[in-house]
Amino acid sequence: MQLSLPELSYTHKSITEFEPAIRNDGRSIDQLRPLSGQVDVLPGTNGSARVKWASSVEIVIGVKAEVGDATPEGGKYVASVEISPSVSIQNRETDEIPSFLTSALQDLLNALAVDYLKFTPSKAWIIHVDAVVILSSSPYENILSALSLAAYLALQTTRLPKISTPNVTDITIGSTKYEPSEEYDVDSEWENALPLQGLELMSVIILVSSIDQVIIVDPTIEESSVAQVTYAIGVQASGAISYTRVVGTGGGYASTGRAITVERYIELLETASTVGTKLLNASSDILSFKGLGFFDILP
Amino acid sequence: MNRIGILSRSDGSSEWKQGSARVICGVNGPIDVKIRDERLNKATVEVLVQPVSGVAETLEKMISSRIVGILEDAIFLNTYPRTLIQVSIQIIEEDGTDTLAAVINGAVLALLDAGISLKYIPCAINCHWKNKITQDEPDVDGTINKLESIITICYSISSEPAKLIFLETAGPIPEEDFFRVLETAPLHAEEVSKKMKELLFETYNESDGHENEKNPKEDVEMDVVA
Repeated sequence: MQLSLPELSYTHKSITEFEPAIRNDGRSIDQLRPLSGQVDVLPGTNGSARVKWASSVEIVIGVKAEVGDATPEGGKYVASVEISPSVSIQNRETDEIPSFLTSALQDLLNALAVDYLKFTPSKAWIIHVDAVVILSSSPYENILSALSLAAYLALQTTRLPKISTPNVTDITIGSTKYEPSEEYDVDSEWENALPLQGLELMSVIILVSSIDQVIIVDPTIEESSVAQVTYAIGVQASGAISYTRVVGTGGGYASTGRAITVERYIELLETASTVGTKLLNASSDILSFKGLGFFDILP
Repeated sequence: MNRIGILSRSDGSSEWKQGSARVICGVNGPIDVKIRDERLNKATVEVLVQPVSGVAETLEKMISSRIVGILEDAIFLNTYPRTLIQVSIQIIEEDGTDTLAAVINGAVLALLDAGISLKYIPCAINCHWKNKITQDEPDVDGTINKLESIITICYSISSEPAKLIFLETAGPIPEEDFFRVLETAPLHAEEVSKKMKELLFETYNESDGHENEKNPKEDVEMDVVA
């Protein structure tokens, strides 16, 4: 989206020359756009969620678990992001935007523990996290926040069928060595299904922009255009940083270009950490309202 | 082996090895630009990344979009309005860990060789984390097995102090280690930058001396004509 110089100048001055900064949608500098979510929205999945980020982005995620060949680490998470044809024609796997989003989601999932997903020497759970962007009027980097939050909620609601295996270890009788058994039984009772472990390492991505001396959270298209640089920063529930990436070109309007000091970058991290922790705490409330429609996470 | 000016048909070119990655970069430009890509007040930057084997796919597109962001900020685009600066990058060796840093540095060297005006010299390094932080130098061969995390950092070395242009992490890393990287990385970036500058000085001093020895009369005649 190409903005005229007066538009850029207006956006830049309203943020940098006023105390507190005036944003074009009335938010404070560390405030996210209103967002709402819903869990357990898709039938026939192990877990699912739907997140609406303001009126600009809406994402549905389904989590499906299947038994597959174990990797040396155990099981594995497989991410996939598609963009609905109604949003964009860029829907083929080779296109850059779905691939960028898929790789970002995969990076977040790679932080999760997978050793416990293995239940026999050669079999483990393969967990597919499939997302569809069903509405987006934002540039693609703004989808990242909604995508990561939807994945977090979907994984929180995911249940894996209980599996029982014969309790046999390596044994040697005479000169014959007997391998551990490959047999397993899947419990079909959904009430006995188990939640995923180690989800405290799942991150939500917060976008932070540096505009002169001001740091703003969740920038709009106009704000991204006047920012020196915008970083996507993954924040865990503990506040730890797990992912950082430059998104958008930035630097085009600012006379300083996109170069920022290391101290400035650390400020960006701290801002993202604070906002991300708040968001994860707020989003955990809707997990108790399964399948009951949209609930505001941040009004 | 790091070299510049290795391609005879490009305006600028370089070969750069960093960690486990080795790339060859060629720069053509400023050249004519397609009308649909033309920008009235500044140059268009196009980056084409080719993998070790096969055709460019999604990963290469993603690398090229990141490189475009860095180069567009570093180049004085307004100096070359309505033109195209085309950067072609061929990855020769890689194992996926050091590629991005090598591509950035290779592209910058090729731009310098082509005489493209830069506001600052971007300089990228990789930090590998496996229970401890180790920064690689461009000449170090091999890489750490079973890396838990990789951090690619790009600095603007020309400014005092070095400023951050680009930072990307892959995999989780403890916060205290991450901040330790941010403290020590500029020093390593300075070292990489020194190697780049030495390479430029060596190459151009060599070529100047070589030409003067070879055809001293021709040089004089050309001066007179000029």
